[in-house]
Amino acid sequence: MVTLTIDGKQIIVEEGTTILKAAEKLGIEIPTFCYHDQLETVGACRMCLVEVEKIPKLQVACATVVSEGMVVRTDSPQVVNARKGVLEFLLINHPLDCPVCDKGGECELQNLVFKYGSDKSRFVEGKRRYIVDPKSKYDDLAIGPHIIRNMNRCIQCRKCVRFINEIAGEDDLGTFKRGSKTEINILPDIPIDNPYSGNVTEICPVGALTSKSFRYKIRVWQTEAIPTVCPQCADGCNIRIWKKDERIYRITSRRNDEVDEGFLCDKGRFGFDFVNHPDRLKNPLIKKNGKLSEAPWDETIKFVTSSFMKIKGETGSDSLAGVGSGKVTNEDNYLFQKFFRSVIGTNNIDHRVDSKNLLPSPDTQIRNKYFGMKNTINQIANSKLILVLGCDLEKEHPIINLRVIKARRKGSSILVANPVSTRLNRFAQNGLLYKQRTETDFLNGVLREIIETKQYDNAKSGFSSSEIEDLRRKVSSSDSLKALQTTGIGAENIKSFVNALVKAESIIILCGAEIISNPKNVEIINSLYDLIRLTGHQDKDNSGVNLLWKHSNSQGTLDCGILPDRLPGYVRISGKPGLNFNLMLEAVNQGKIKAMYIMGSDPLSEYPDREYVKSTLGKLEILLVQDILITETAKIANVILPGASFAEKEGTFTNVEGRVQKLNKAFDPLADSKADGQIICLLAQAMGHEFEYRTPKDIFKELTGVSPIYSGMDWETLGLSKKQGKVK
Amino acid sequence: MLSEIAKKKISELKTKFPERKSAILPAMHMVLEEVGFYNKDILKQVAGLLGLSEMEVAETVSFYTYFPKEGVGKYHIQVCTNLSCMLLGAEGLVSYLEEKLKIKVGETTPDGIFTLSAVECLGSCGTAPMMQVNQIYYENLNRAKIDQIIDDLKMKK
Ligand code: SF4
Ligand code: SF4
Ligand code: FES
Repeated sequence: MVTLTIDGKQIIVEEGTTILKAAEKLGIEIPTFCYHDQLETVGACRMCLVEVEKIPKLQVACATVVSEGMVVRTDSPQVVNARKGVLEFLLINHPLDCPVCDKGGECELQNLVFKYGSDKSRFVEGKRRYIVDPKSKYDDLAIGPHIIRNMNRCIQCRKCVRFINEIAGEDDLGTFKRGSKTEINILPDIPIDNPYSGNVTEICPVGALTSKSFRYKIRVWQTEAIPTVCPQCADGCNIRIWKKDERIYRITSRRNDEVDEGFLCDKGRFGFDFVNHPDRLKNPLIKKNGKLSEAPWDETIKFVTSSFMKIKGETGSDSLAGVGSGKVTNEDNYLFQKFFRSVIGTNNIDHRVDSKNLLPSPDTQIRNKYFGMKNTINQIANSKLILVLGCDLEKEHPIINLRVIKARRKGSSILVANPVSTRLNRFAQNGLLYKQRTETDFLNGVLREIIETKQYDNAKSGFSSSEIEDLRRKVSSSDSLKALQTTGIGAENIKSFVNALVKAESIIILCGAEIISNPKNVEIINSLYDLIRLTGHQDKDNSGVNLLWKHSNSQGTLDCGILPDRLPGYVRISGKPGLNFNLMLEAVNQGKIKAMYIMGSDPLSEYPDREYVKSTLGKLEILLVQDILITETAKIANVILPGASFAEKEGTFTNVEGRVQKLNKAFDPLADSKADGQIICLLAQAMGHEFEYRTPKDIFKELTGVSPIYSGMDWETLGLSKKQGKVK
Repeated sequence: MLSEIAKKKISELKTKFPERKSAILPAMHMVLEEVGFYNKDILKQVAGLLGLSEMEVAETVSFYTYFPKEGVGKYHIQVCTNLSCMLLGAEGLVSYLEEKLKIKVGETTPDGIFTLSAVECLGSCGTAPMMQVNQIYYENLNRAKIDQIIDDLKMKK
C-alpha cells in the first residue's frame, strides 16, 4: 500500500494505482480526453496534467503511478494554466460548430472548455477543414451503415480506433496521416461494419463520430433518459432509452461492469425500430368471417373468456394450453402460468417453441446441469481456456463474445468447434469444424485421447477407477472409433485440442443454440461435464459448462415455471405434468387441445417444422395470440391482443447468467395496447378470479414469496448493487 | 505488380523484427525502389506478405509523406511548411510554386511531370526553407533557386 496526498488530502491506495484513480477515490475530478479505463492508457492528450512535488514538469495523472509520500496538486495555478493551454490548442482547429453539432449538450470538449477553458480566443487564422465532398453538409461523411464522421471536430484522442482494435478485435477503423492532418478513417470503400461499431459514437468525446439514426432529430436535452435493460438477447446489457413523448430516439449504454462493461452491440443500440413501428398492433382484433377486424377490449375479453370457459366446461381444463415466451418479463410469465394453473386448471404450459429436442427440467437445487450458466459473464475473461462449442458467439451473444476476446487479449487460449466457421475463429488457437450432428462423436474422441494417453487429473477428477474404466470402454469402443471418422476431424487435430485442454489452469465451456436444440443435447452436456471433471476443473471458480439461452428472459421464463412439469422456482408438480409444446401439437392434432393462448412467442417462425405447426395450429377452435406486431403466428389467429413493448412496461428480465434486472417504463403502452400482465389480469378477473395487482412490483413480490430462488430479492434495489438480483 | 524477387524479400522481412509491424517501412522502401509509388493493391499485397492487416499497413504508410501514391507526378515536390521553414518564408514559396506550375497544393500538372505537396517537418530546419523532390533535398531556398530547380527538372523531363 502507498500513502500519498492529493490537494492536501491523504489517501492510501494499492501499489500500481495511477494518480487519476487515486484522485477519483478522493472525489477529486481530473479532466481527461484520451483516457478510458477499458483501454490501454496512452497518455496522449495531456488534459490530465497535475503537479507532483519534486518533479519539475507537470505529469499526466492517467499514466503516472503513485509512489510513497507523493504530494500531488490538481488545483495549483500551473495546473489551471496547463488545462487552459491544452484546451486552447484543441480549439485552434476545432470548428466550434456546437449549434449544429449533434454532440452539443453532452460533449466533453464543450464541458471541459466551459469548466477549465479560457474565455478569450487569441486565434485569428483560418481553421483546418477536412472537405470530403464540397456538397456534403458540415463536411459529414458516412463511414459505415451507422456512423457519420465529421473530422473537423476530432481531437485525436484515438479512443475510437483503440476501442475497435482492443475491445472489438476489429480493424475497420484506423488513424491516417499525422500531426494536424491526422485523420480517423476507414480503408477506401470498406465501411466500418462490425457488430460493435455504434460504441464509437458513445466513446468519441466530441461530435466527430455520431450515430446516423439519432443525428439531427432532436437536441439531447429535450429527451429524457430512462434506465432499463436491452431486450434483444440473453446477455442483458444495461441501457438507457432516450425518449421524448412516446418515441424512442436512441439507446445508449448504462454501464454495468458485471454485464456489459459499458458496451452494447449494434443490434441492441440501433434495433429499436419495432417499438415505434407503424405496424404495431393498436387494438384487439377478432376474426369474423375469416377476416380480422378491430374490436373493443371489453368485447374481446368477453369473447375470449366465454370461449375458454365453454371449452373447459365441455372437454375439461386440459383441452387448453398456454405458450409463454422468453421475450416477456418474469412478472408477465409468472401471471401467465398462474392464470393457466389456477384459473384454467391445467399444466399445459411451455415456452420452448424453437426446438423439438427439449432438455430435462431442472430441480430446485439450481446447479443442475441443464440450467443456463454455471459461471458469471465476468468469470469468462478470467478463464485460461475458453471452449466455444456449437455457437456463433458473435451473433448469438455479442457481449459475451467481447469477454472471450478480452480473455484472449489477456493471453487465454480460445478453442472453437462448430459445424461452420464463425467470426470468432480468427482468435482461436484451435478452430475445428465438425460435421453437423457429430458433436458426441467428436467429444468422445476428445475424452478418449485424454483417457488413453493418461492425461487426466486422477486426484482432482474424483472419478473412481471403475468409473474411468466405464468411460474408457464407452469412448474407446470400435463404434466410437468408427464414429470419429465421420466427424471430419483428424487425429492430429484432436491431439492438439486435447493438448491445450489438459494444460489449461481453468476451462470455461460455452454452448450455443446448436447444442441446446441438438437431438443429442443431454449426451453432449454429459460429455462436457466429464471433460471438466477429467481435467480436474469441476469445482473451480473460473471453470464450468455454460448453456447460453437465446432470449432476453429465457432464464427467467424457466425460473417462473413456464414449463409443463415445474412450478415457479423449479418446484416439481405433484400430479401428472402437463404437455410440452411438441406434445401440445400432437394433442391438437388428436383433437384433445382446442384452445391455445400464445403470449410473445411466434412458433410459425421459430419451430423447426413450420408447415406442421401451421397446419396444426390451424385446427384449433381458439388461437389467441398476444404480441406487439402481427407475427406469422398472429396471422392465423382468431383473436389477437395488442401487448406493450419492453419500453412501455415495468418488470424484470433474468439474463443468461441468472441476474434479475429491472426494466423501467419509458412511456405508456402505445395506442390501445396493454402490458401483457395487465391483459392476463383482465382475463382472470373476467373469469371470476381476483388477480388484483396494482403494479408489476406486487407481482414480483408474490414471485419472491413463491419461488425459492428469487426469495429475498428487493424490487427497489434490484440491479442497483452488484450482488443484488444474482441467482446462485 | 511486385516482382517475385521483391515479394520474396518482403516476406523474409517478417522474421527480422520482434514486432512484425516494424517490417512495413523497409517493405515500402522496396516497393518504392521497384514500383516508385503505391496503391491499394500494393498495400494489400504487402499486408498479405507480412501477415498484417491492410489497415495496419495503410495507416503506417499514410504517416509518411515520403511514400508517393499512384498518380503522383514524375517529380514529387514536397515543401516543408512546418515551423522553421514557415518562419523563413515557406508560405510564399508554396504560392510561388503554385503560380509557376499552375497547380494548387495536392495537384499534379496535366503533363504528369510535377506534383506539389506541402508537408510537415523534413528534419532540415538548419537549412530552412527547404523542399524535397523525390529523394533529393533542396535547401536554403528562394525564388531564384526554385526557378533554377524547376528549369533543370523540366530539361531532364
Ligand atoms: S473521432 Fe472522436 S474518438 Fe476518434 S480520435 Fe477523434 S475525437 Fe477521438
Ligand atoms: S449483446 Fe444482447 S443484450 Fe447486449 S446490447 Fe446486444 S442484443 Fe442487447
Ligand atoms: S487523459 Fe491523460 S494524457 Fe490524455
